[in-house]
This record gives sequence, structure tokens and C-alpha cells, in this order.
Amino acid sequence: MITKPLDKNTTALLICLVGFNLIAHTASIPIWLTAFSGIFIVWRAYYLYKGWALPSRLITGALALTGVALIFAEYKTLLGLEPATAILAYVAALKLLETMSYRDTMLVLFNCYFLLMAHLLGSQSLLSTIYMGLDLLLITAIIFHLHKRDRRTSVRSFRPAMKMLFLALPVWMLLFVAFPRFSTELFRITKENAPSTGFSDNLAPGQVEQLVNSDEPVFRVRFIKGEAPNNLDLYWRGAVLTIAEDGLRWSKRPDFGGSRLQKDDSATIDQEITLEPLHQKWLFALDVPAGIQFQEDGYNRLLRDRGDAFFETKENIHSRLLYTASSRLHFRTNLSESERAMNLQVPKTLSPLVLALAERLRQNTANELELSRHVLDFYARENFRYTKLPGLQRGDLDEFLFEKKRGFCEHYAASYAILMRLMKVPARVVIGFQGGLPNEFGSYLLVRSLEAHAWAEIFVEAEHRWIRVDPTATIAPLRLTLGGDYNRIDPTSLAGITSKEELHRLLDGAGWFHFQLRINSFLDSVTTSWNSFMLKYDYDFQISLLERLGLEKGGRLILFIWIAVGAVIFFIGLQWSLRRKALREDPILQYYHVFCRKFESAGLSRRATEGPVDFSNRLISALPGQAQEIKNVFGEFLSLRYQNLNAKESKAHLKDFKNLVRNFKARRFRT
Amino acid sequence: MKKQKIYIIPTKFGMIYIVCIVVILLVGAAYANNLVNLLAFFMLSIAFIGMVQTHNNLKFVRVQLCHVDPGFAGTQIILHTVLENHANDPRFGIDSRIKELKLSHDYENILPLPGHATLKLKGAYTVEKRGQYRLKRVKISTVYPLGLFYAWNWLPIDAGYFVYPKIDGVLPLPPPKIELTESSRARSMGGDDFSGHRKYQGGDSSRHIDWKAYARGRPLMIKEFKEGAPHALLLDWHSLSMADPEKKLSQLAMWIDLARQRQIPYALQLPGIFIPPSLGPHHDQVCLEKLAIYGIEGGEKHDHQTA
Repeated sequence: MITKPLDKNTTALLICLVGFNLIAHTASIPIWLTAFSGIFIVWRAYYLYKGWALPSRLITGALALTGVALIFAEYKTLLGLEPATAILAYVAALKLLETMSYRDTMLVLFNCYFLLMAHLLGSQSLLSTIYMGLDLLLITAIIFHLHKRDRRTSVRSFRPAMKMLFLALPVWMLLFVAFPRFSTELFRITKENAPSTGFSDNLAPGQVEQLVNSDEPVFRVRFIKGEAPNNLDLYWRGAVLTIAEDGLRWSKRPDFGGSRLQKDDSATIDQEITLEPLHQKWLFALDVPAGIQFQEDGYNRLLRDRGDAFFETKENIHSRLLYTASSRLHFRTNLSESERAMNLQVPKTLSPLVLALAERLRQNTANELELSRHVLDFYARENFRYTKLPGLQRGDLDEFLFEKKRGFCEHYAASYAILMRLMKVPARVVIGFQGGLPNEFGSYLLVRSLEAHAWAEIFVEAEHRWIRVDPTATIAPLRLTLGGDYNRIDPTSLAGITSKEELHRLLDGAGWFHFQLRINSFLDSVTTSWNSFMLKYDYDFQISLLERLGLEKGGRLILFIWIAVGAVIFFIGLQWSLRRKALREDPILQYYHVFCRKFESAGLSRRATEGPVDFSNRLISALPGQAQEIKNVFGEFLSLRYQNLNAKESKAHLKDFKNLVRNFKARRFRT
Repeated sequence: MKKQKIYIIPTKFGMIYIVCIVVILLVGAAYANNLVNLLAFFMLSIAFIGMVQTHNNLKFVRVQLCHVDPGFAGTQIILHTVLENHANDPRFGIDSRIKELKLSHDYENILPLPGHATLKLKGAYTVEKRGQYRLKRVKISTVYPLGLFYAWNWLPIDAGYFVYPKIDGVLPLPPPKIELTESSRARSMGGDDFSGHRKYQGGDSSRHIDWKAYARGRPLMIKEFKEGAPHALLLDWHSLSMADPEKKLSQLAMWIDLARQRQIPYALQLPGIFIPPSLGPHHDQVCLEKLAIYGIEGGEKHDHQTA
């Protein structure tokens, strides 16, 4: 087959390709690997353009072993997606340092398919899809150029590659729609060492504060049944923290399948939530969720009901997740004795000052709501401030309550719950998100990291239910009315602002912020519809789509027959389009060939290497009687072929030429 | 044009590619990742389109002519052929072979063939056995555009050629002894006996230039030979004493080659065959062909074998 070393153009394209594929992985592979691969790529480029030497096989061999050893040291294993990706990336770059044979080149190209696959496993965004398209075009063009062996510039190979992509499109789409998907119970792969984002499992001072510094999307919500609650009720429950470790530090209680919820008369609100990969167990839903159902059946066995009306997955989830949550604004419940005790437990380390404060606030009442008001009044009276940067030194309750008097939602929720517990009211901290950015283009709500929030719940015996109390609403009511963007700047500079527009103006005087927000939400809506299409197109959706097309589950055979028929039609069409091309042969040549064939019966056939002039001379000497006729035909032919005629002239000449050819008859050649 | 069968099979890389697709499909299913599925489907669909294109790359490609220069056994024999593309669009990466012999263009061995164009190809090989040979077909093949499929087609050709006996032998040319007849003398282009000089004119054979005189600083002169040199050689099978007839044929071939170089008219005597004395390429060809097929029944024809 092809044994020659790679030419310059193809090598240059290949260097670009390897670089392009590595760029997508720089975030996930170790930094030294990126550096090494970068050096290899640059080295090859210098070899190509500046004539540097390539390392000997011994050195590349040593580099390969070193690389694999380092990767092993990094990941402690060579199995699994990440180390495999790292090896593939390293090998692709290292291979460039060898004189590339045809075989090497093909293997590097195949390797690039796998690198692309590894990237797609990490991200299914629209951007990744566009990246995939470019990458595939590049790979295809290189494969084309590799086999074309055309010495001209490699850019010429992009057109046939694009043509091929275009031709492949129908087949591609058909496969996407009709290729049988597996129900995902078949195999599931768990991923270790993934970077985790978002909340950790407990609440520590400063944690929410970290989150609100980023406007990364966390999840998107579409209300599918029931009326969406107004902004102030948009609490997205993430986890309930029952154990107070110290004043500000809280954690989840161990799982023991706690109190059941009972319906009351509030309406059900169903939401469809698309959760970005957080690499954790979190599931968020509108407060108060009663149940969660995953889009993909395979995930439902991973669902864990933690009992306090919050849900988790049993394993960390590394992919985008789509689920429906069914929530009601209120639920009735009863507290068992053990649960009541648990929700009253206070840490032993509380200082006498705190205990005294609780005693003072109680003021001889036992009504939970009244007690709650006393605590909230205390914050207001003592001029507590809402800020992202409370500047706590020791980070304990005393410092917050009696010295700094500045804090973030987490400090208020935690201190509030402690004070309530000290006054014998069952209380707990809830963490999650509050608010959300409505997307005007996509009719969904985007909840970003900066909407992270913490609040509290107290149990009201008389009403048999937990009631949500958000101290932040008292201290910084604007946080709720203005939404998460309020957290973008330090609230102390926000005096006098009452509307979102004012906030946006403050965030950026020129109105650029507002504009940016609109652009972002437009892009987000496009991404979201793409993602949801990608997520929803699974086994069940495929079946339902086929059913909608009138193909029952049992009728799959019919479907495959249809596909076969379609494929045959497509194939015939493809052939036909190529066939027509051949028939559209240059009419001048066509008639010339007809003319030449007329002499075959006379024993004079044109030799392949014989040009028209030589052939005509031979014919004239063999058939002197027809010399004039032959001369005429050749004269027409030569002027049609080699003279610069305009369209009109050439049409007239062609007509004459055709007539001459048609009327010509070679007389038998006698010796 | 007769419909021709084009065969197609996956290459080694085609097999690897299929394995890659299967792996990617499994990963896509395992991670329930639709983009990965999409990647696998893409690979599958371009393989499909690529298969059709590989097949079509050989369509409308014909061999126009095949012509073989005759030669002596053991020396290189040159084969000329012309590929013709009847389609509008160019063909790339077409490899043409006769048996295992790769035909190549002067500067590249796998070449683009523009639409409605022809391409001259050459191949050189040695044949060890004298005889008359006939080439029946050329194999054209391609892996373009993806290298995943290998398509080939047998194109019929009809090229007969002779391989003359190997030039071998130690005997010098026999002395001239035949009187030339008038007719054969007229056909001969020059004699043996030097008769004088004349001035060089364009078109004169360089063989007759007096190079020694030219080296002495004189203008280009043509040595003229006396037309009347009346003797021709008789290259006679019966005069040879070797036991092996092949050796005899080799000796005769060497003589013919020598006589041809020295422009001496000669006649050839083989058992049962006599070719009257003459001179010139046509005569050489006739004589050498007789040698080539001597003793081979009915001028046996078969496909040539190359190493």
C-alpha cells in the first residue's frame, strides 16, 4: 500500500490536529503532561520547518515509558477513563516525534477519535458539539489528504471532506434516530477523583459565601404542572442539617428514614429539573418536595429519600441529570419523640453568653412563632448587617452574635436555629438555593451558583408542620426581591436600591451588565434546548418517537424494513448522481471519440498516445480519397478544443462538428 | 462500455476502525452519552459513504492501451500503458499493477488522474525465459478516500510481446560470405567499406560522424561507406557446435545484436527457417522473434511471470 513517509502538508495538518485535540483536555490531564505534549508538538513543528533533528527511537521509547510511569504515579492506576485519556493524549503527541509512516498516521488519527470521545464524556454542551464538528472535519480532511497523495496544498482536501460530511448527514441522522439504544441498566461506570463543586456535606462558615462568587449554572427548572410560586417562595431545597456540631457548624443527621409527610390542601407543583454535573449526591427541588422521578429509569434505583423531605443519589453523579420533582408548598407531619429530641440538641460548647441571650429572648412565651419573632427582632434591633465578608476571626457563634454582628445567610440561619433550639423549639438548617433567573428565551428558570442560600425551619406543634423561617428576609429583604445578583457586590454599598434595574445599573453604569445578562440568557437557552434534546433522546424517547410515527413496539421489523428501503433508495440516488456525472461528458470529446471509432471498421484505430494531428496525418495517408472530409472534421475539432472561442461561436462550431461527424462514413481500406 | 465488476473489501485499518466504532458505541451506552453515540454514528456513516466513494473511484477508469517493448531475456522489459478517466471529476490514489508489478508514472507512484484525462504509466521488469507472451489484464486498485476499504478491478488488455533469447556466447561474428542480391542491397542503408567524407547535414545518423576528425578540430564530417559492399553475414544455427539449443539461440541473439550495432547485413539460418540477408530494425525484429519462439510449439502464448 502506501509506504512513503508523510509529506509536509499532511504533517502540518496532523500537528494541528493533535494540538486541537489536546486543547480540549488541558483542564483534565496533569499539567506536566500538557507541558510535555506541547514540547513534542513544537519539536515536530521545528523539525518540519527549521530542520531540527528528531530524537532517536531509544529516546522516544524512554519517553514513552517515563510518561506511562508518571501517569501511573499520578492516578495510581492505568485503568479507568482519566488515566486512559492521559495515555492516549501522551501517545498522540509522542508519536509525532517519530518519522510518521502511513500506519502511524492512521493510528494517530484513530487515537484522535478516542480523545474526542473522552472529551465528550466530560461535556455534552453545545460548545462541545461544535468542537466535535470541527474536529471531525479536520480528521476527515487529513484522511482524505493522506490517501489523495496530491502534492498540492492540503487545504484542497477540506472541500471533499466537507462534501463527504454532507453526504453522510442523512445516514448519520438516520442512525441517531433509529439505532437501537440500550436501556442503561446494562452497565454503569462510576468515576473516581472527579472534581466536585458546590456544597459539601455539611455547613461550615464561609461555605455558601464561596459559592455565591460564581455564576456557574447549577440547574435549570421548567414548571410543568401547577403554578410557579412567586419569587419570594422560590426556595430550592438541597439538604437538611439537623446536627449542630458547634454554633455555626452543622451537618446532616445519619440516615434513618425519618418522618413521613402528609398531604394538605396545597396544590402540587411539578418541575422538570436539569442538574449540571456536580460530581456529588445532591438533588435540588422546590421546597417542599414529595417525590423525585428520573428521566432515565436506570437512575431511579440510585434515588435515596433522606426523610426530612430531601433527596439524594446513592452515588456521585458525573453526568447531566434530568428529573421531575413533585412539590407542595406545605406538608403536614408529626415529630416523634426521638426526632424532637434530635431537633432540640445543642452543642455542649455554647458559651454562657448565648444561653443568657436565649433566656432573655424567650420572655415567658411558648408560642413558636412569637419566639421566632423575638429572635428576628433581636437581629434588627442590634443592627445586624448582611454581608458576604463578615470578617470573623475565630469563626464562632459568640464572635458573630456579640462582636461583629455582620454575617451571611449561613450565619443567620445557623445562629437562628441554635437560639430557637435553646428556647425549646425544634429547629434545623436547610441549605439550597433561593431565587433564579427567568430565561426570557426559553421559559425556564436558571439557578446559578450565586443563588446559593441557607435558611432555617422550625416545627410548629399546633399546625403539625415545619415552617420555613428565613432570617435573611428580615436582615436583607433585598436579597430575596433582587435575587442572586444581589450577592455580586458587597451589600453595604447597596443602600437605597429597590429594583433589579437599579441593581443592574449599579453593577455596571453603562448598562452593559443588563445587555450581557440578556446575551447570556439567550446563549443559555440555546445550550439548554440542545442539552435537553441530548438528554431526553434515550431508549424511552426513541420508543415513544417510533410509536408516534405509527410503529408499535412489535412493529420494529417494519421499521427496519423501512430503513432498508430508505438505504437502498439513498444508495441508488448516490449512484445515480455519480452516473449522471459521467454521462455529462464533454460533448466535443464525445463526438471526437465517435468519429475515431468510425475508422475501426476500416482497420484504423487511434492509438491512445496518438494526438489528433498525428492521427489525422495517418488517416489521410491511408485514405487519400477522403482527405478533405477528414481535414474538415479535424479542423473543427482542433478549433473547438484549442481556440479561444466565445460561447456563441463555440455553439455554432459544435453544431457543425456534430453534423460533420454524423455524416462521415469511412470507406473500406484496401491494400 | 462493458459493465465491469469492481470488488471491495475492508482493509486492515478498516477492521481496526470497525473495532473503534464498537468500542465507542459501548462507551456511549455505558455512560448514556448521546454525543458519544453521535460520534460513533458519524464514524459509521462516513465509513459507509467512504465505501461508496472508494468503489466509485474506480468507475469510469479504463486502460486505453498496453504496449510492451520487446527485450532480451534477463534484461529489463518496459511496459507502457495509459489510464483514462472517463468521468468529470478527478480520480485519486489509483494503483495499477500487472501481477505484482506496480506501474508508475515518472514522478509519483500513486497519482491523481484528472477528469477526462489520460495518464501514461510505465513498468519495467525482467523475464528469464524467452518466448512469446501475452498480457491479458491490468489490476487497478484504490483505498481512496478513507483507506478503510480496498477496491479493485481487472481491466482487460491485450498486449502480446516477445522476449528474445538471452544474449550470451563467446564466438565472434562469422566472416561475411553471402553475395547480396540487388533487392536486398537496395534495402541496406550503408556498407562496410569506407569511401570518403562529406559534410554533416541535419538528420544524419550520429553513428556515421567522424568523431576522431571532429576531435582534431575539423568540422563535423560524415563518413561515407561504399554502397557496393556486396557481402552479408550468414548467422547459421548449423555452424554452432554447442549441445544446448538455448546456448545456440543465445549465441545467435548475440550475433544479431552485434550485427545490428555494426550495421552489417545478415541472414539467419535456423533449422527449417531461412531469413534472407537484410538490414534494419524490421529485419532485426523478425529474426529475433524467430529466435524467441524457436522450438516453442505454435508460438505458445501465456501470461508472463515476473519475479
